[in-house]
Amino acid sequence: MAATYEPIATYTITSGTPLSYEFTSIPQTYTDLVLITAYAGNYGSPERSQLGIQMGNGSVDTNAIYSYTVLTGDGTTASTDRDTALTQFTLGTYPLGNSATQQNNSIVHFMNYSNTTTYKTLLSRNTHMNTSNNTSRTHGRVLLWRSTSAINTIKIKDFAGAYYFHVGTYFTLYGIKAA
Amino acid sequence: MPNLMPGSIASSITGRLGPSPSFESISTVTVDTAQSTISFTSIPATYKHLQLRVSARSTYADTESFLKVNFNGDTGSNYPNHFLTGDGTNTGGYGYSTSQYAYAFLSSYPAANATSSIFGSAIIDILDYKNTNKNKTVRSFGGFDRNNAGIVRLNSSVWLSANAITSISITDYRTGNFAQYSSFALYGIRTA
Repeated sequence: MAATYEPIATYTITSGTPLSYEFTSIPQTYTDLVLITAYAGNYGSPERSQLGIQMGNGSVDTNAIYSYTVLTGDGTTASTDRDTALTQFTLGTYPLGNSATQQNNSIVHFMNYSNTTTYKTLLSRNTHMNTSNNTSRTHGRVLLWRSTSAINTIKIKDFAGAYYFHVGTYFTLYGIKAA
Repeated sequence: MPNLMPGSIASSITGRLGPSPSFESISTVTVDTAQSTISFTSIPATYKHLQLRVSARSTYADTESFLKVNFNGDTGSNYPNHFLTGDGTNTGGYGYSTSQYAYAFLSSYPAANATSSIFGSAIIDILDYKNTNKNKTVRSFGGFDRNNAGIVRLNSSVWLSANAITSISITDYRTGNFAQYSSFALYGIRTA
């Protein structure tokens, strides 16, 4: 039987101080996409930043048509939040000032990404690990991009565009085929 | 491309390279005209786990509806359910015994009164589905955002049966139909 869960591309930061990375010309031959990330921010202040993500067809969509609802657990309480009219998604916070060996992870599912009839719903699980001050948390997030365009471009970035990613950060994009 | 099985269970990071496909498509149903029931039958017993990936919307006149899932045609009171939710304002945790549900109650999606073109999503893992020595645990991660409203759901259920799962039936909790463009893709996950 043919493989149905295939790697499309991986970007690993081996040097430099990149603020973002863009997957382009994503094949339209899958049903869902899965983005698996491990990342760390550079040293500095403030304590934390957020991982941002944008998408589009042919280019990145920066219109205010991104929204999300999130459920968070921090070890003490569960909380929830939502936001709308955003120009990018936030996948969750991550600490700045961790070493490159203390990475955070997000898994993002782009459901039915290539259809041109429906808005795109994403599911994301994110961890914010910070061993230094016990402020770790976990996020479950549902995201809506109010566009019927097929997704063939995905940009991953620091939400504020101010904090570069550590060496060792990687972003891997997979495609899942259906029968 | 190499065969790979990373993240094959929702929210897991683990993965490894393998010599044969480990995550395989079994069957997919895409709704062309609204229909009330989605069925997967004669599910092969060649995998370790199953994963159901859902994109759905209900025709029922409300803003939200829910997935009802039954195994092997069992509609008896054999499905305890638990779930954790967040709607942007309130969080909630709920537990229900077998006397309250005759189905696995899994995730939710927009219904007819929600903005058109919005579909909910769910990733449902059915663990150790063919094991005949234990009850079957199911978990899902899903929900939907509809621009200034939405819900995130983490659900778990157990089917109190030691029978191997050979069929899955999915219906709409509010007795609506699954709207056009809804899709249900069933995958099998192999083990070494």
